[in-house]
Amino acid sequence: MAATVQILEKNGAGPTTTDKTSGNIRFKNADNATVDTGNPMVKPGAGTDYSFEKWLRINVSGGTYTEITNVKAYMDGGNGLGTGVTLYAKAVASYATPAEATGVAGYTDAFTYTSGSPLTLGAGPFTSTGEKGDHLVMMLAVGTTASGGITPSETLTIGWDEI
Amino acid sequence: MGAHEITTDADGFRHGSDGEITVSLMEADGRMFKRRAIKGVGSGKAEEVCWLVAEVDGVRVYQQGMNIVVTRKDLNP
Repeated sequence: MAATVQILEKNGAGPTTTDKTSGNIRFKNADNATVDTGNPMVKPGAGTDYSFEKWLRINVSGGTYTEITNVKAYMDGGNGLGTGVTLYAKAVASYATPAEATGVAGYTDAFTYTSGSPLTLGAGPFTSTGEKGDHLVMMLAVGTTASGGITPSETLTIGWDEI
Repeated sequence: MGAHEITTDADGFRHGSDGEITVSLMEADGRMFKRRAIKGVGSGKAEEVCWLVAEVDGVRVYQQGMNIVVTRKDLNP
């Protein structure tokens, strides 16, 4: 048997959790998990438009396993979001209500986290069910050179070791 | 082929199988684990990947389907 692992998006003060394991995650200018065109990112006339933070975390909802270790996240190494659009990431232990980012301090360009150099989300060992490891906090930055429209999807991978 | 199953036999040796291929670790000081990942999170096209990893003295055998890699590198799906 194996652990049944979900990827949760967390929103609001509660927080409200939404299973995004196989769903879409939409960066926007609002704190919600809805995939729509409301509260879109805006190409700025000057400066940068930052999205609200996306707080993601793995959740073991069931299955059978002994322990999970080495939780990590990484991208494919190439930013396919288009000119002027940058994705940032950081690991945070304790949840806080997602806020609109105001800068990149504390963040790292998500595309520098690759399969060979991933972002660590917790060494573990983790056991039983429930949320495990650090939160993966991501936000999108749109600059003046960006094009309009919905960007292509990118490949975020969240991995772990399991026995 | 789904996720691997790891079992331990009466002699304490570990065996990992995906239902078609079995990797047996015949060294007591080695370790065997599953390296799992969800690729494409948030894209609407996510897929789960499971590698079986057997390690002895820093040398790892990674197995997924018909592909086997032997290396000292820490590889991720």
